[in-house]
Amino acid sequence: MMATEIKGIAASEGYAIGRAVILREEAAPQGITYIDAGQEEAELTRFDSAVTAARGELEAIHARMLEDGREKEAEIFEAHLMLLEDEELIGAAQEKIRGQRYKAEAAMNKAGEDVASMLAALDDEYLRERAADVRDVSKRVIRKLSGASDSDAMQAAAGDSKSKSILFAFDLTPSDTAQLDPSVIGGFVTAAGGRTSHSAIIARSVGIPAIVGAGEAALQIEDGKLVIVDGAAGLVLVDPKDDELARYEALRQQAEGKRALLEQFRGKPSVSADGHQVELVANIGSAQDAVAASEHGAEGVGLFRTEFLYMGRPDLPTEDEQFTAYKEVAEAFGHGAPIVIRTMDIGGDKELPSLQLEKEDNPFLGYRAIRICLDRPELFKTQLRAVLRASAFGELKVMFPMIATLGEWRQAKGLLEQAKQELRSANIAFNEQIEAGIMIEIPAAAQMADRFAREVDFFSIGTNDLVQYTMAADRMNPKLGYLSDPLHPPVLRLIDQVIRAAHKENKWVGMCGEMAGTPIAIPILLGMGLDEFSMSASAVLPARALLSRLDRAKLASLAEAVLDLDDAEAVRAYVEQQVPELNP
Amino acid sequence: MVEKAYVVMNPTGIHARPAKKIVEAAKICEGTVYLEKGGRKVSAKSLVNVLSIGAKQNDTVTVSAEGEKAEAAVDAIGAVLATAEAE
Repeated sequence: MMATEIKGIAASEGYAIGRAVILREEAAPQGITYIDAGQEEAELTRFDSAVTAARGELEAIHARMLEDGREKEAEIFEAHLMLLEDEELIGAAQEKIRGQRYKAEAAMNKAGEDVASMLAALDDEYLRERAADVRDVSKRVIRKLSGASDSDAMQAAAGDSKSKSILFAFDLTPSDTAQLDPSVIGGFVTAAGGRTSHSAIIARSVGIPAIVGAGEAALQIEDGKLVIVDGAAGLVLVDPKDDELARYEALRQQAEGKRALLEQFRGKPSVSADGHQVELVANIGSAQDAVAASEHGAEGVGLFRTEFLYMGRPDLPTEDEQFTAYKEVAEAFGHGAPIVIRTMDIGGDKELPSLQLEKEDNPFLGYRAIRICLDRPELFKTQLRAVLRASAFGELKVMFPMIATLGEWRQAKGLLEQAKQELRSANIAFNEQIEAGIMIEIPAAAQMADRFAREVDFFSIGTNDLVQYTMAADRMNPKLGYLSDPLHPPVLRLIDQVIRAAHKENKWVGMCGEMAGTPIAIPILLGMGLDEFSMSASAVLPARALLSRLDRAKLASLAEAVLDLDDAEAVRAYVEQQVPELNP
Repeated sequence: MVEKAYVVMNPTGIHARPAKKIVEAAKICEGTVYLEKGGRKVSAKSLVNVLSIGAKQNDTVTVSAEGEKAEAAVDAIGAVLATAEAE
């Protein structure tokens, strides 16, 4: 018989094997219970000592987090400590005891719910999330009123040290998650939650495999059952068979080794062995991706594919909707992180019902991206205003795709200036110095890079399209795979030419095609002097590790030599032979 | 009573760290300390309240205080509001 499976949302990668421990929710006080007249002072004393006890607990957790160097989590508890002194929360609860003769538990619960629902109603994602913190703090006080210590199941889990425990819960509060000790808890599974819920984010930062949103099934499991958590697939195997156990144990060890090796590069600058620094940033398609990219160690965003905001819906996204999305992306990273917003690239392989585009024989050579935007300036300006407004909240840059001629660039830049003027007259804040650049993906623009470089603030090379236009090979056609290779010298020559042209005018150059995250291409691009590498988030740490082994000065001659080779195969063989650091 | 108006400089408005600092600054004053934005006036000694006014970059916030060290508290809050601190 196969093991029973529970499916959920893959929230944090990795594999864990252990015994199930169920974390039961303490029931919140139901309804309101009252105390007798004259009992107010005694009840207040009981309440105050519970608050004091909760403070002691929080201070201990806070100190432990700081000791472990987990500053992000420590800050959560600093806020909790402050909430514990808050007149709106604790003061309100005291008032309910004194003035309305609420029982302490009911008073705390009501005050907590009042504040949490007030915050939850605010038009600000950050503040809405704080509602969870308020509930967490009130629960802690209520727990203290009943004399209990931190979640008993957590204690139970810590007690059995022989094998790791897998925690099953309806949901985990921020304090539950931050206190998870990876040496005891192998992973967790919750019935509620999504990929960006607080618990999922902390699980990824602590490195515990986690599955969220698994539904009721997560709570039906029996305590002590042997389970496997496959955090990559979002799968729980209950009562696994021996061959499954062996397979996952091997996967787990493999993943652990790899992870430990890469972990040392998180939060570090991206520097080559000889001290040359570049930017390693991520390609994203949504605000959610931005959160994941930041967790994966990306320094910012090199390509936000904004067309995903337009797709899969019958109408067009409004300026406000877009503004919110761009602002959220900026907020996912720290202040000053570069965020390159590419204006929408519809057409080609991406259709859009709301624009009613005609079917074309050659969509990749057709009415797409900037060509649509310049033809429909109102549509374009809505997006530009949204980007500009969001530029008040972070280091946003705007990038135009599919530029072929200087005229197109100037027209797009002109519309950007118009959008700025509109905001100025409406007294809306934006970054006046916002950088504007273009994608280099059409050979025509690559050839004219010297001319563009005088006017733009930056280039970003889109290799996927640049390869297909240079090699005249449809990248969707599997039979043409040998042509769809960015290592072909004609493509490399264009890239080299673009980088030189930009640097001559002191402009920076990025690359946002798949090539930028491909290990074999990184030594060439570093040698050519590429400034910014934008890739899928999961490629960032491996790229940073590779970069740290490479010597940029030595690679300059390699970058020149490959331009004279016959084809992609020859380039690949040459780089593999010349760069032993690729396989340490 | 001391009363001064400030423009919020922080790009993400009054979020976690600035809010915490404002509460700490308000507690310098023994008496009452208020923040006012768009007709809403709240006590600056409560983290919940400070967050709840939802002040964003470029918003104007009026700080007022009464009691011992009122001036010091207002200035300290003003310093937080007028700083573009990275979070």
